[in-house]
Amino acid sequence: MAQPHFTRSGSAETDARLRDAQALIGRLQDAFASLPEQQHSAVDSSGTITVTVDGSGQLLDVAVSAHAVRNFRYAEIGPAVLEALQGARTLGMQGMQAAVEEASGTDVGASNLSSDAALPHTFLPLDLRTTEDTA
Amino acid sequence: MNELAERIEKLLAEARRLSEDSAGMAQRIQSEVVQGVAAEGRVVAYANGFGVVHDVQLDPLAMRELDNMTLGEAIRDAIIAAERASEAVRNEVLDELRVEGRSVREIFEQGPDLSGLEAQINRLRSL
Repeated sequence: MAQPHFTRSGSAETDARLRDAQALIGRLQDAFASLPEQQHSAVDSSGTITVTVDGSGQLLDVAVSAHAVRNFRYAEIGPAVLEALQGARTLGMQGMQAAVEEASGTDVGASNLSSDAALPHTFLPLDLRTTEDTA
Repeated sequence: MNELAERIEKLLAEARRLSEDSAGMAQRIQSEVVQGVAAEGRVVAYANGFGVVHDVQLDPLAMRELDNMTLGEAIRDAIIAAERASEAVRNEVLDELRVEGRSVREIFEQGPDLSGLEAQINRLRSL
């Protein structure tokens, strides 16, 4: 995305702030770019379903234990999958917020994110996803 | 300055209309239910238009006919299919919401057109 560029320079203080802002944007872009390389896994409370997502929230894997197939009723699998999916995406969101905190030096509440929040399938900003992500 | 005042007034009017339209569209996206199917219909995942998966249903036969590895892959595929269907619905709705002739989806993907605004700011700074 083209960054705005203002032609008339202001005071030295303004220019310093603009340079700081540009450096911050660069650090945030690097942090977001590294998210798809991360992986987060969570297990449901019965211990039989494990869901893994990448750092941007994309679903990578659902592992169902052999025990679940033998002993669970079919209607019990869905809720267990949703519980593990929610857990994995909460971890992913916390990872993203931690990356933002590290890049920006500010507290955005990474450790306070509730696992009850309904999280969408991806939380990476649209313009930072790869073509493959959005295909 | 009259030209600038007219442009700001126009932008404010657009912002008011956008605010009203977007509230209705957010409600519409939220209430949409899409599904993703895998393993020849044995696994179905349901999501709303925002991509939040709220249900995963298995056919009773899935537990008898699929081993645990295949069942996990089918559940994953169904969820991903539901999320993609959700994205298609969301994009369709965002295409309808327009600001100064551009769809909100286009603005999300390509960013705002700042060239006119930049020129106005530079004019203001030179006054």
